[in-house]
Amino acid sequence: MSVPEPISQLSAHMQPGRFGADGNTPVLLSERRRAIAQVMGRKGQDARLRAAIHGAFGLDLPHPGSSVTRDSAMAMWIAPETWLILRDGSPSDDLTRDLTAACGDAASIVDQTWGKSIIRVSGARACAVLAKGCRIDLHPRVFGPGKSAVTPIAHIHAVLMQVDATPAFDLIVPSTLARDFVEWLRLSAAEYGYEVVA
Amino acid sequence: MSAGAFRTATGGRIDRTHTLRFTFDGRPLQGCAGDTLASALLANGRHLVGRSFKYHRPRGIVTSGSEEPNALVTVVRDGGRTTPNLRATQVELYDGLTAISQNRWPSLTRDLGAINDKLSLMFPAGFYYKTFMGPRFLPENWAWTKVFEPAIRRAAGLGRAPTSADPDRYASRYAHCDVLVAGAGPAGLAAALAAAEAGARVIVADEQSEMGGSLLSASRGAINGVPTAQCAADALAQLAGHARVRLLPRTTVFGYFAQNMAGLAERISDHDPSPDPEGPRERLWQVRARHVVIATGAIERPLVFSNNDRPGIMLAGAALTYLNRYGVTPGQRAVIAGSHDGIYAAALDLAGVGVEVAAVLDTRADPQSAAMAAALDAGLPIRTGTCIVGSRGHLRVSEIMIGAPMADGSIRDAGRIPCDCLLMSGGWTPSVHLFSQSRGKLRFDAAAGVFLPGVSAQSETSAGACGGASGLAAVIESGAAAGRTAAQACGFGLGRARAYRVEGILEATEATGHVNAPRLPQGMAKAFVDFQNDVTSRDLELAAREGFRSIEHIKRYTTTGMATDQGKTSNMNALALVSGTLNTTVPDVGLTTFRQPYTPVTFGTLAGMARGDLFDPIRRTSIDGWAQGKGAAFEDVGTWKRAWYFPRAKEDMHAAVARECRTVRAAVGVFDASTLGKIEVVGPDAAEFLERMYVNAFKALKPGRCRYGILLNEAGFVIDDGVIARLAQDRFHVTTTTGGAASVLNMMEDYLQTEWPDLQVWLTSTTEQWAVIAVQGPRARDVIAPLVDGADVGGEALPHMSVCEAKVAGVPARLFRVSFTGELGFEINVPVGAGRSVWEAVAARVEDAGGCAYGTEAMHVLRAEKGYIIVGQETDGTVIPEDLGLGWAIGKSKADFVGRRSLVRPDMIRTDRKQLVGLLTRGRDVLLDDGAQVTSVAAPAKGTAALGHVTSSYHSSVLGKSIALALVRGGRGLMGQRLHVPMPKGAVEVEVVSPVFYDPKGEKLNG
Repeated sequence: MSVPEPISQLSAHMQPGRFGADGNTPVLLSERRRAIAQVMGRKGQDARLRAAIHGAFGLDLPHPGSSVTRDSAMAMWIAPETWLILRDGSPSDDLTRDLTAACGDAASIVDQTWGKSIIRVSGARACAVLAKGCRIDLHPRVFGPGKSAVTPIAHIHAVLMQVDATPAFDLIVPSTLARDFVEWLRLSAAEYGYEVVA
Repeated sequence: MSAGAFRTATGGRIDRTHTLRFTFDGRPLQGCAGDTLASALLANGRHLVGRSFKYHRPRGIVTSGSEEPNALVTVVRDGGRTTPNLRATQVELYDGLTAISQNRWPSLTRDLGAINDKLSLMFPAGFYYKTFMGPRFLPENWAWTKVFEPAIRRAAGLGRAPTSADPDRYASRYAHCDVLVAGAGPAGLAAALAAAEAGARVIVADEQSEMGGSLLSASRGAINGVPTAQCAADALAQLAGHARVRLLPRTTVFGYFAQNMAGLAERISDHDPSPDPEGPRERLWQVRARHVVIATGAIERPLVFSNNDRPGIMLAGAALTYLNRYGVTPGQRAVIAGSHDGIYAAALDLAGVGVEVAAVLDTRADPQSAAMAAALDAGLPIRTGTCIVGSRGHLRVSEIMIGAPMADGSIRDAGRIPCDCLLMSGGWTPSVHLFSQSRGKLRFDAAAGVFLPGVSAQSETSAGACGGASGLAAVIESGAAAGRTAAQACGFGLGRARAYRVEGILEATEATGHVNAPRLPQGMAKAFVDFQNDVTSRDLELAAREGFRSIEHIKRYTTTGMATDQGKTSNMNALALVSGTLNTTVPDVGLTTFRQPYTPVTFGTLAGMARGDLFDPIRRTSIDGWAQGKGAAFEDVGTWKRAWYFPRAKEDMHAAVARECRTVRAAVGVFDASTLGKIEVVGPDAAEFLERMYVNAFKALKPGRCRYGILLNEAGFVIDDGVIARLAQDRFHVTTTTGGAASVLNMMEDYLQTEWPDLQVWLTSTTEQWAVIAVQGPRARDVIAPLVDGADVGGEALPHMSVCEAKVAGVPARLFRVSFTGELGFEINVPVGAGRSVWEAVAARVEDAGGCAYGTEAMHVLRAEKGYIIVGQETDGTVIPEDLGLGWAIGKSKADFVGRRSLVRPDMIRTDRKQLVGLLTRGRDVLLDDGAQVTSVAAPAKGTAALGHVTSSYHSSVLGKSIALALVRGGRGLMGQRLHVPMPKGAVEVEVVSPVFYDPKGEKLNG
């Protein structure tokens, strides 16, 4: 029996196309597929955990409110002693297995690949779109690439992280609420015009 | 003359070449581009625009801004787009505008409600507290609740809200800045420039369509050589050049909240004759500012005298604004009166355009001011030491009565002056509303006789007139200083201070003036203090006489300063009157809190996009699309949308549920259980942790096995339940109820962090990670066996309450052997991304086996047939495991668990607690009401306590009758006995039976 290809809950709701108001600088929306695992450092194991993650992924576990990227992997602080590790590749990629092998009993690892959806919002008006539901100040003087925040957006618990200075942001939301979140994003972006890209 | 007989030939900021047509009460009128509804009405000689709240007295336009207490109108676009209670002074005129007056019937000029004015002796302050209580032969409060209160409620209110849904869109956004400037008058603009030049991110909000505040109605003088009226445009052009500055006209800072958060309401399209139907009408801004500059100016005070509310009587400053900004004169023959130098500026400007100034009356005996000297030079008829004692006129002032205050306090009649308008100034009250809302402490300035900002509670500065600055030069100076201070508070340098040189202004000698002693009315006449709420001087005196001492009580008793007006024009006059009556000082009387919003904000603005589907987030499972495709009906479970039942052709809900239940019992059904809460509990102490949290024993549970867990709160009551599987020595897969997922996780985290921080345990919500496909029924194993790879699903390898990891339809899965139906059952957990495809593979086999998909309703019926509880349905926060017949689940040898101590309290071990039983109706089959009470006799005497209540009630198609679960006092001891369930159509006789209606021996669990 062939293994079915996993499908995103969002695919039917993020068909590529140009929507909303006309204009030369539409906001770009896309779904990002990443393997995601939650890493919770065990008590007294901080140094061992950091060394393990560094050894296996080349990542230095970041401080609160920030994220680091190295090659195809990224680490993001989301709670005390807790990080999300993201890795490019198909979502069925067994990131959890690699992490468990690297960390041993220095951390508790739980797969969240399908528990979360990642939505990228980018373009000159990205901040204006997010400001409709996000209480965080995204001004370049305050926020910036590599910064992240755990914050409710439009009543949905989200992890927000700035990817680059375009600006582009990745929003990590619970997968069962992702469709609702995208509806909110589309409505919010309509006045500037937006394009859903693959 | 264009657009109105009272329009000047030149001057002002309106465009005389651009005529706008509008109607008021159906009558076609014309105005100019740049007009407000108020200025356009005045240009047409219309002063009468509304009827007052309580007495239905004819009222005119008193002010030119948001403080307007009288001129409230309804503006109609279409049915749903009808806005009542708008201030005509704030409504921007557009071509085709339709406005109607309020609180009158049949018409504005002939209003039957005006009878209230004649009957006013019946409606003194607080009348509803002391009348309408009798007569005594009727039952207590009968007349009030049945007759008077409904009548008063019908009469209350001004405009009427539309009944159809609001078709407009509303937007909202968060914003951050270093400096928020509230008000773009001379102080606000100077502050914004100074802050922006120092490098700060600045937001400037002003409630008017054009920024500039009092600069826009200036008629003389210059700043740095530029005519005053032009300075605003210059400043705005400079501000627009800063990328860090955001200018928000038509935006009211309506509230100042904690942590320097301000609420702003931006009116986007109300002024537009044909607004974009897709665009928002209003936008809510929630601004977090590091520092706020409050530059809200001051509000002129009316004079208090008999009949001071006739149309044609307006504030002198408002008249100046109508003249200099809108090119409108208030009448042909004006009397100008008051106690502030502003009356001379108004008199000079009006005389300058040819209005006859009948008299300028100064209540001060010897004013000694440059402004008066200028008016004397112009030959205006000035009378000092003269006050107004009354007015006459029908629907418009036609004459005023004047008097001379004598040394003994009496007033000598000083004659009458015919006029068609009276312009008054009782001085100016600083607008300290926002400062007060910021929780700053106001101080009373005895010299000026007004309240000014005292001790700040947040990072803010009051600048200009609202901070007590006097004269344009000082106002601008204080604004510029506030802007620099604000930037410095945000970490920017002080920067270079701009120099402002102000020349040629007719400055007042005193900024605020003094509060005038009210000229109290003789006989039946009324002297109004609060125009909007129809509160007279007599009402305030009555309150004082009846023993009220604090303004907080007087406000509530008389309604002065209440509602949308918040005492903008009336506060200081009321305080002066009350303190005078009580022979005390204003600070002793106190000051009421200024409430948000400063001016009314529509519900639409506050709701923003949170309406319809976006009102609350909606959660959907990965199988939602499949269920929609099958035409499932959905029900809301918390924020989830769950498939309720799957109707086939011509099936109603009852038929569909009956079929689904029969199919599961006879063959097999597939059910989407993805919404179950799931928590991964990991760590060396995971078993110890669960042992302490749940009533059950977990340390002995072997990997690969499951246990039904019951969670209590500290009081011993059941708050959640679910199947808990041990996947490995240090890893558990905990399921919770759909609604309890978040609160159980929070409770676990709470205990882990505060009670047992030594335990090595970590928690992750995996609700979102796993799709759960339940396959239930005697043919369940036949259906899934061919799909499972890597595990034996036979009864011996995978017995009831066990778990294994395997591939199902090619996908790595956690396969549970569990049942919530009493049938042989499996729950397949696969990653959400594969949920839909595995579901489809399973559903296809279910169909082939003669089975079907079933929804939440069938799930409920099936579990009720087995007497399985649902937390929140069979429990209500007062139920312990023993009540539910679940005492067996408690680990007897456990040292402790949450709620354990509470279970041995005397009340918990009583034998007559309410216990879960089944009920079957006797005689005819009746579906009992959920929640219906259970009693021992059919018609118990009033006051008899019920024995319990029905917790679940369903029609069971499998059993061919209705079944119910109930909590009944001592229920387990009543088996076979007859009780009664009172229902709307009469009591139903029931028999108490076991709560397990189907397969009491549990043989079906093994297929």
